[in-house]
Order: sequence, then structure tokens, then C-alpha cells
Amino acid sequence: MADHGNKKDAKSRRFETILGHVSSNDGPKSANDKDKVQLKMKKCGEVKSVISKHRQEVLKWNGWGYKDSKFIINKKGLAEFVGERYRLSGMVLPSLVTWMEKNTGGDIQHISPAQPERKPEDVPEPVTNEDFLKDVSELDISCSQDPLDREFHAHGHTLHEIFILREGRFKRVPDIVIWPGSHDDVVKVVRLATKHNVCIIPYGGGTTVSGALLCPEEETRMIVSLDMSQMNNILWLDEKNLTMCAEGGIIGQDLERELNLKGFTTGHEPDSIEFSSLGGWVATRSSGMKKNIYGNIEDLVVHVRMVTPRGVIEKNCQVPRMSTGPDIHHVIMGSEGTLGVVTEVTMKIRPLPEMKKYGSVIFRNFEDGVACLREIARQRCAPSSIRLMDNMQFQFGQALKPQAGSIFTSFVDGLKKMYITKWKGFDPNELCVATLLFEGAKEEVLAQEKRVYEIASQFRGLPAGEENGQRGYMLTFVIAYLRDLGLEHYIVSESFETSVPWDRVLDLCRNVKERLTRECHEKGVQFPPMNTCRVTQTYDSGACVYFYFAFNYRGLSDPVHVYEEVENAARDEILACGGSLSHHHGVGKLRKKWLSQTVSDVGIGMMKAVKQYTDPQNIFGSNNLITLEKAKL
Amino acid sequence: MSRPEYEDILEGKRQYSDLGFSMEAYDPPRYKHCKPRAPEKVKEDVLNSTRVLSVIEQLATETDQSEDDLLSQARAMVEEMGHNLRMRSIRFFAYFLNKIFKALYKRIYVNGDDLEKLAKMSKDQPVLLLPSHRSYIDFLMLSYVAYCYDFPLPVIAAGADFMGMKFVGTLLRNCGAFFMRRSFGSDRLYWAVFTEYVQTLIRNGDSPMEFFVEGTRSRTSKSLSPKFGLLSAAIEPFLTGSVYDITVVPISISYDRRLEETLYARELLGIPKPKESTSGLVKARSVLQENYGNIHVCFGEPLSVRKLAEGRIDRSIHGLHPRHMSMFTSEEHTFVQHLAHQVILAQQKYMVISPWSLVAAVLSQHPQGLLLKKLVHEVVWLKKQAVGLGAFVNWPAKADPSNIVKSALELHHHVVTLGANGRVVLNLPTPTRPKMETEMARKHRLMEEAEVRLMVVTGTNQLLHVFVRVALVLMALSKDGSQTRDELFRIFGFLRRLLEKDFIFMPGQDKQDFDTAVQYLSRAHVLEERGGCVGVTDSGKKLQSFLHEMFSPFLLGYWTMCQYLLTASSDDPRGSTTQQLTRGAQDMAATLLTNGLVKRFEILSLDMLGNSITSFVSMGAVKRFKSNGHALFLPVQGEIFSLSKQIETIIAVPDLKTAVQVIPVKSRL
Ligand SMILES: Cc1cc2nc3c(=O)[nH]c(=O)nc-3n(C[C@H](O)[C@H](O)[C@H](O)COP(=O)(O)OP(=O)(O)OC[C@H]3O[C@@H](n4cnc5c(N)ncnc54)[C@H](O)[C@@H]3O)c2cc1C
Repeated sequence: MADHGNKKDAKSRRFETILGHVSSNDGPKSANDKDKVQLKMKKCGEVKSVISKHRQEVLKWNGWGYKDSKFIINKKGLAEFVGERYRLSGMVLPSLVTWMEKNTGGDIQHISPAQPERKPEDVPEPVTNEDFLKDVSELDISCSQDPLDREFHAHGHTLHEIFILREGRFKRVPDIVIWPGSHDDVVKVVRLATKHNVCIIPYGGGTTVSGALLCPEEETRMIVSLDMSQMNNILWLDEKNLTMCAEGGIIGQDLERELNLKGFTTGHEPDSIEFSSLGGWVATRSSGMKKNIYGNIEDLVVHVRMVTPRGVIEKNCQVPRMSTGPDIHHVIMGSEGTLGVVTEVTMKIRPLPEMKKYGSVIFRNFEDGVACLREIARQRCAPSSIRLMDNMQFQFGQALKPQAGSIFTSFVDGLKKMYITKWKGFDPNELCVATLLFEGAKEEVLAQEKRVYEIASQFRGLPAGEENGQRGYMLTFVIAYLRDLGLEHYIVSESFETSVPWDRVLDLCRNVKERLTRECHEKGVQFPPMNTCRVTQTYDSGACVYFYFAFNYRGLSDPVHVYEEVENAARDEILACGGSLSHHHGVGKLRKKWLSQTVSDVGIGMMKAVKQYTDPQNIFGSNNLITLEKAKL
Repeated sequence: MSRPEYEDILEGKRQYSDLGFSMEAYDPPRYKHCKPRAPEKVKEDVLNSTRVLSVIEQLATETDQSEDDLLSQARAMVEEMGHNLRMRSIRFFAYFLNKIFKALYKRIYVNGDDLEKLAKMSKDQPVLLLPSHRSYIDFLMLSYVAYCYDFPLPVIAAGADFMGMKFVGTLLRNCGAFFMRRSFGSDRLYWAVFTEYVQTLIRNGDSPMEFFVEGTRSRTSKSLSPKFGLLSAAIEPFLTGSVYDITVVPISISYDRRLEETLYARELLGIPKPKESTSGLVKARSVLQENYGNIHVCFGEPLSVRKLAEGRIDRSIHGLHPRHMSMFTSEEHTFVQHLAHQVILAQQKYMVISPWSLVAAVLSQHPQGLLLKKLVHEVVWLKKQAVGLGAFVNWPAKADPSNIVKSALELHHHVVTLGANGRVVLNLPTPTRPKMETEMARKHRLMEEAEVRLMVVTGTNQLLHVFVRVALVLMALSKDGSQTRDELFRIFGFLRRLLEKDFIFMPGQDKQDFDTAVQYLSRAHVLEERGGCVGVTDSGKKLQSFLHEMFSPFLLGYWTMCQYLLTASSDDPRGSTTQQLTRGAQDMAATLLTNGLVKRFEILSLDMLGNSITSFVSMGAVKRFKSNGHALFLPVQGEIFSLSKQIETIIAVPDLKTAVQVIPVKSRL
């Protein structure tokens, strides 16, 4: 392990104090007597998580996010976001219902309610491997076979999965949930699983949108969901080298909160940061919105420990770069829980920026916007985050405008006032908005801001204020809750993403939308779907594009199936237009069928060879990415 | 698409002023992603395109030309190329064409409902209009029809031969024509400029794009084998994902009588054609005083390139190279070839067969003419056969057949005459007494006769595509009347391959073609199974012999070419041009005709003789090679000999051994 000598450093001491306040964790840790040495070192970094061990106490069992936060239709028939956690909480959104009705052809009066609370008897009986259970019980590691715990771990957040929770039941769920408390616990569990031929599916934050957590229905062995949430300590922080090491189960918001208290940040902010975990990020090759400054997960990771059935894989040093054959990190990152468990990650950190400033630009049309982002990328002066919403998404943002009296004044009205003369030429049905986030030293931020707005003006873009920018980012977290409201009213929705070279961005966006519309029509969807996209990341050679897509499914007997067919068609279209299978959501099971065409047969062969060596028994049997032929067992 | 429903668009206009018509509101739909731009802007966009700029850069490093030089060359090219579609010219044209068409034609039939549907579709994706091409009138007609239906006026890829005509050239440009050099072989800059010009118009969907897959006008009235270059360029934006889809519309334009009929007959015989010049067109004024009957313009079933490509083409491959570089995979080449064939086959399917065509087919089998009564009888029989095979024949159900035939004869009074004796005869030059004729004079008279006869032939030609597949099956049977199915298929395959250039067959579909034909013939009781063999029924004999007569001139022509090639000394390595070969064979054919050894004047057609060379090349019987940039040909004697022998098993040929003195000493080289 690394040298901890610099702990005496002033900020580190404060870190200890602060954590002393917050950590009142009396969970399963006390049981880990055998790991005393390890524990002592950890003590300084124990973190109290926002999420409880039995997640359903805090989180919805059949929808997105916190139990207490959701969209409802109030007595006046208006949409309202209840709860207290977000800036939008407690606010009424007068135009949302009308907007939804208009853009999906729906009617808010039509209700498609979810089934009430899950009855334990609706969850399949567990398959048990008695010998394994016996050995595990001797380890003194926390576990549960409670049906509700098991079901909670059976899924991620694709439409398909949520739909099953609302209207059906899973055919296969994990047979036991185990909460390891340390790296060594993981080693032991993996060893036992290998001995007794039990299947393990690591569980981080459960936010996957690729079907990665689904249990293969044909799996006959006992399935363990290895819930990493109790391994959420920050083990150390090294200011000299600007790195920190944390356990794989720590949730994004906990990690950031703790680091911020100490004056640091990882800068890794996927939109799911409230719930997704460090190990999950590594396992899925995640990407955060501020990657322009901080990098994506592959740029941030300095060291990883992963427990595999063969043993522990890790590097023997924590260096910025090395030339030692193919980088084993790149085998671990994106392995999607198929090779082992990420237990500890050392990651780069940065001091918190002196200044954080939001911004926004309106463009006459999407083409101008894309051209501008391309130019900003060419000049390599992209702010920490830059996102370009198309017109539909812009209008959607308008529909999420709460009643007056808040920061949320009318965007268009505000702009019209701002640009009495220049407003001409901006058609509300064409214009689109880029939201910006600048971070850094004050003068840097101001200089960069100036430069970005200058470039924007070359593309006829006008600055549209900080508030609009901030609002854009805030809405990101809230939008995830909207799907549940839609589902209450016959509207299914989903998002998907891709990466694509710059010169194909516009064509890809246009063709994919067209495909979605036509496929819906052909598949008997009675109303035109809502489809919208945004460019969420810029790179030197291309961009990441994110699509939202929703349709009203009244009159369809199997909306999820229709949805899946349409999404498959959209993916075919993306690939045909030169886009990738995924920029950051990963492959899981949902996108498996395209993997060989994406990486070639030899590529698949290599992945199989790695799997075959690392996990010949297919203990990590989630069957994500590839399927290993059974014969070799 | 079911049976097209036609309406006569001239009818309403006869009482209406031309000026009023030309000033009508015209507000066609537009492709939804189109960003409107002026023709000049299109040219600018081409010159600023990565495709053109990168070729300029390459050429500048490879040759000693400067980038500026190359850029001005490119500018000159795009200027020479560019259309200049303008509303004012459209209105002028509307006025002008309305006047002329009303004078020339009795009716112009259009399947308007289908065109209106197409107009709606044109909002959703760029459209390619691909008409058949048998007359200059084609593209004028199509623009006129578009104007009538408030359909967006197409931009039209035209051969550069019009460009030379000052006034007409400008006029055509203003009406949307853009010009393509006939051959620009390896001129990379021209290719880049042209490709970009075509593709930018398609990507932005400024206007529907019209061009002729056949590449040029078919003088013979038979469809020509498709050309792939322009179609490939036009389809590429779909392959690279630059557009969602492209709608391809095969269009069939059928004429009762073409303006250029005499001209074409001369061309086919090699009597020099006047260069297309304005004054030439003006001289054609007398042509305008005639009546040309009806025209049918049929917009065929629109094809979605996307649907056709589904499962056949993996477009993601184009993610691996820059978009301005054209790259076609072999699947894509095949795809374009199939598409081109499909378009031509669709054009054929919706061609409207005029009664003249039936009359001509019967007349060609009666070189001395026949009685009207007999003619009508035969024509009615033939019509029935054609309709049975799915042809659309313009044959008013209630009209008296002999009136239909008579008006067809009337329409073609320059070719045939219905005598007072009730006999229908061709207007052949008056025969002089053969003995007193010089060789030259005899040839000359032969050509004069051929001119008339070929006009009958081009009439017949419009009918051939209907019968060709069943005809080849029946010809394969001809010798002893019965054959095993396998043997039949083998000979059918041989004939299909031999005649590939003269008729349009979908590549690779021999078996389907054969099976459908045999199936049809069996259902029609023309063929029957006899103990493991297939044979012609008694009732089928008539069809067999009629079709045999109809198609044997092609085999005779090819056979003549064989004989000509066999007289060429096999060890002459210098080779000959197509022209030398076709002229030589034509001479030989002329001799055979003047000596009465053969009767069919079709074999004088340079077009057919040229096709035979192409076919022989693809069958390996003639070698093609390049010398000083010219294509030269050398027969492979053994192959030619065996081809000739195979043909002789199918048609009757004169015995040249006994008539050896009539074979001229080879006149070439
Ligand atoms: C609303 C929403 C927004 C999102 N935004 C983003 C975004 O901006 N950027 C982004 O990249 N993704 C995003 N995602 C996708 C998802 O959040 C990421 O894939 C995330 O990295 C998953 O982390 P998790 O901890 O939730 O993993 P889980 O969902 O629990 O698991 C995902 C996969 O990783 C494996 N796994 C988890 N933990 C470990 C471990 N410790 N060791 C080994 N394998 C493990 C699991 O077995 C599974 O195969 C979003 C998802 C949602 C629902």
C-alpha cells in the first residue's frame, strides 16, 4: 500500500475531524474483527452514506430515486414535484401537463397505475446452495435472503426493468444479497463462490441502463448479489500526488461531499452521481459531464484492485503512465462485473476550483449550435461542461418552468427583453440552447467565458444568461424522475447515447430521429413519438450525443416490446451513420448483439480468452458483453 | 401500385389560354430538411467542398499545376455544369410547351394520383426521377407534367452535347438542366466536381433530380443497358448516412409516334446524324406540323433505397473513411447494378404499348404487306398474348379493332399505306430493275428500304420486352420441339447471356426468369410436360413460330457478326475498333440482303451489331484491349466458331459455302 506519511498535513487532519463528526456507522463493520489492521487504517475515512443498507428504505422500489421525491398531478390537475431534496422540490409546473399531452398525444386523465407494494410471494423462491450458505455464515459477513432485498438487487433502470416492477414480476432474481465490508471479505466470498460454483453479480449503485444487473434467466446455480454499499470508505488521500483511494462501493455524492469538505474533488460527475458507485463507474467505463477538465473515468483512475476467481489483479505502483504491454486497467474498466469485483480505486483529485460559473448561449438552430461546439472543441477551449440541447429539449425545459416568483422566469421573455434588437431571426421553434459550466481560477474562468462567447457569436449565438445555464444542469437530476410520471399515464420513455465523429453529428441526429418516428408509426404507435437529442460531450474528433425518446402507448398490447424494437432500430441507425454502440452506458445485455460487429470477431475472441482465463467457471455469470460457451467448464 | 389510372392533362388546357396557364400559382412542396439556396450558391458550395478541395490539393502535389489554377479549372467546370433553375424561365417554358404540346399531341396521359402521392413523399426524402429515354421530348415532358401538378421541378442531368447550342443551352439551364460531359474518364477533378454537384443537390434536396439510367436516348425504342456511374453518385449520400433515404421513381414515357423516328432509323443504319445544333432543331419545324398521337407518362412505384438496402448493405463501413472520399464495397456495386436494372425493368413494366407497336410486329413478319383484315386479326391475337403477359396495351375496350388499327396506320402514314385494295404495304422506294443497277446503287436502294423497314422495327421493339423471356424458352425448344427441363434451361441460359446487351435481365436471376416463363407458358397451355420432357402443344405452335420470327433477327445479326469475325485473319494482332467491326459486318449483311440470302433488314442495325460485340466480349469470344486510349477488339476464332454453331442450332441461316462468292473480301483495315 502507499505511504501514508503525509497524513500529518493540516488539511488531512481536518479531514479526520470532519469524518469523525459524520461517521456514526454502526453497520456490519463491527463484525470485521479479523481485518483489524485494515480497519485501523480505514477508520479515518469511514463515510456515512445517504443511501441505507436496505435501499428500499430510502429509494423507490419500482422507480427512480428517493422515495420522497416525485412528480405528481395535484388536485388542480397540474404537475408538481414533491419532496425537499431538490431546488425544484415543492414547486408546481403549470405548463408541464399540457406540454406532455401535446407532444405525446396523451391525456393526463388516462391513468396506467403500477401494481401496489410488492408481495414477498411474488418474488421467486431462492435457489440455495446449502454448502455455500453454511460456509458463508461462518464468515460473519452480512447477508439477506429477504425477498424484497433480493428483488431490489435484481435490476437496473432500463425501461424494461422498471416496467416489470410496475406491472409484472422478474422470473429470476438473486438468491441472496451479501454485503462485504472489506476487500478481504470480497476475497473470501469469491473464493467460496468458486469452491461451490455459485454465481456472483456485483452490485454498486444499481443505476445501470444496459440490463447489466439482470440475472440470466437460465442460470440454475445460486446467484449472489454482492452489494458493495458497505465498502464505502475513503481509505486515504494524498495531497502531494493529488490522489485518493476509496473502496469500490462508495456512492458518488458521498465521495464528492467528503472530498469537498476537505477542499478537493474528483471532478467525476455522471448524471447518476447521486446513486452510482465508484466501482460501478470503473466497471462500466463511465463518463462525467465535467470530463473536459477532469477527464473520463479512464483518465482519472490511477490504480484499481479487482478480486477475480483467479486472484487479485492490480498494478504494483501508482504512476501516471507506464509502458508495460496492454494496460490491464483497460481490461478491468468496462468489464461490467464479468471478471471480478472492484474493491478499491485510487483516483486523481483536484483542489476545488476557485470559481464555478454557469452560462448559456442560444443559437438560431441546431446546425449553428453544433458548428459552434465543433469550433470550441477545435480550439480546445471547451469549458468544464458544454451541452447543446435541440429545440424540442429547449421547449421541454420551458415546460418545466415553475410558477412565477422563483428563479425560473420565462426564458424567451427574458431573452426578448435582453435582445430587443437582435431577437429577430430567432424562431422559437428552431432555436436551441447550449448550457455551460466554467470552473477554475477566477481570471481563467472569465477569460474562458469571454473566448467561448466570442466563438459563439461567430455562429450567431447570443449569451442567454447564467440562470438558464444553471437551470439546465439542475433539471438533469430531476428529469430522471419524469419517466415515472409518464408511466402513470401510458407514456414510456428512455434515453440512449452514442459517440460520433463531428462531421456526422447532424446527420446522425436527424436520421435517428427520423427512424424513431417511422418505426413507431410502423409498429402501430398511435401518436407521433417525442424524440429529442443533445450533444453532451465534445472531443477533439467527435461528440457524444444523447437521445430522449418517449411515446404514448395507449392501444398497444406490449409497449415494452414495441419500445425495444424501436430502440433496436435506432441503434442500427446509429451504427449505420457511423456512431458507436455506446459512449458510456455500456453494453450489458441490451447491446450485446452488436458487440461483435463493433469490435470484430477477433476482438470478441480476445475478450473471451480473458474471461476464460480469469473466470473459467463463469462465477461472475451476469453474461454481460459476451457469452462464454458452456462446454469449457 | 395497382393499375395506373390515367388522366389527359391536355384536355382542360385546350380551352384555356397558354398565358393563363403559365401564370398559374405554382407552389410545389419542398423536402423538409432543405435549406433553400440559389443556383449560384450551389456552385459555391461545390467549390468549397472538402471533396473538391482535397482533390485539388492532391493534384497540386502530384502534378505541376498550382492550386489556384486547379481551382479556376474547377470553377470553369462547375460553371459549365451548373443549372440555373428560375421561376421566370419555368413560366416561359410552361407557355411555350403548352402551345407546342397541344399542337403535337392528341392527349398526354399521366397517372396523376400517383404523382400527387409522390409529391407528398417528396417532402420526406430526396427524390430521383428516372425516366425511360427514347426521345428529346422526355425531359421537356417531365418538367411540363411537374409544373401541371404542382410537383417540384426537377434538375436534370443532361448530356453535354446540348451545351454547345447557345440559346437552347441557356434555356435548358434555366429550366433546371445541368450538364455532364459524356466521357471524363480519369479526370479526377472533373469527377470530384461532378460528384459533389450531384450530391450536394441530393443531400440538401433542393429539387428532385432527374436523369436517365440508360445514359442516352434509345434510338431503337428498346431499353438500353443501364449505366451505373451517375446512379452510384446519386445513391452514395444514403450509403454514407447523409440522407435518411432516397426515393427512386422509375418513369415510363411511351409514345405512339416519336418526333425523331426518321432520324433514328438513319442513325441506326449509320447514315450520319446532324450534330445537335439550334438551327438543326429549327429545321425540324416541319416535323412540328405532324400529329404524334398520344403520350403516356407513368410514374411507377416509388422505390425506397433504404428498404432495398436493408439486410444487404452494412453502411457502418463508411464510418471508417472520410466522408468526402467515395468508396464502394463490392456489395454496394452489386446493389447499384441491381437497382439500375430494377429501375429499367420497372420502366418496361409500366410502358404503355401502342396499337402501332402491335401492327408493326405483324407487319415485320409480312415484308410484302398483307390485307387489312388479316392484319387486324393478327393484331388482335397478338394483343391478347401481350395482355396475358401483363403488358398495358392502349386498346380502348369498346372501340372496333379495325378502327384502332386504321388509326395506327394513319398516324404512321409516313411508313405504311392502306391501299384501296385493302392491302397494307410499307412505303418502300420504287424498285428499279435489279439487272441494270450498279453495286453502289443497289446498296443505296437497300439502305433506303432499310430506313422504312427499321421504322417498323422500332415499332416492334417497344413490344419485345414483354415477350423476351417466353420467347427465349420457346426458341430454345425450336429444333425438335421437345427438351428436358435442364437442357431447356441450359439453352435458355445461353440465349439470355448472348442477348444480355439487347435486352434487360436482372443479373443473376436466370433461374427465376426461366421458371416464371415456363410457368406462364404452361398455364397458357403453350407448353406441356411429356414424359420428363417439355414440349410445345399444338395450340402453342402459333405463339412459338410468331415469337421465333420476332426474335430470330437478333440471332441472325449476331450470327452475321460471327461470320464476319471468322473471315478476319485470326493472327492479326492489331485488332479493330467497334466501328470497324460493325461497319464491316453491316457490309456483309447488306450483301446477304441484296443477294436475297436473308430477308431481315434488322441485321443492318449498327446498334445490334455493336451489342453483339459487347456480348461476345463478355462471353470471352472477343478480346478487348486498349491501345493509345482506344478500345480495340480481337476475335477468338475458336470461340466465335462455336458460338456461330450454337446459334445455327436455333435459327435457320443461309449456307455460305454454296454462296461463297457473295462474301466480300474483308473490307476492314
Ligand atoms: C439517470 C441516469 C443517469 C446516468 N448518467 C450517466 C452518466 O452521466 N455517465 C455515465 O457514465 N453513466 C450514466 N448512467 C449509467 C450508470 O449510472 C453508470 O453506468 C454507472 O457507472 C453505474 O454505476 P453503478 O454503481 O450504479 O453500477 P451498477 O448499476 O450497480 O452496476 C453496473 C455494472 O457494473 C458492475 N459493477 C458494479 N459495481 C461493481 C464493482 N464494484 N466491481 C465490479 N463490477 C461492478 C455490475 O455488476 C454491473 O454489471 C446513468 C444512469 C441513469 C439511470
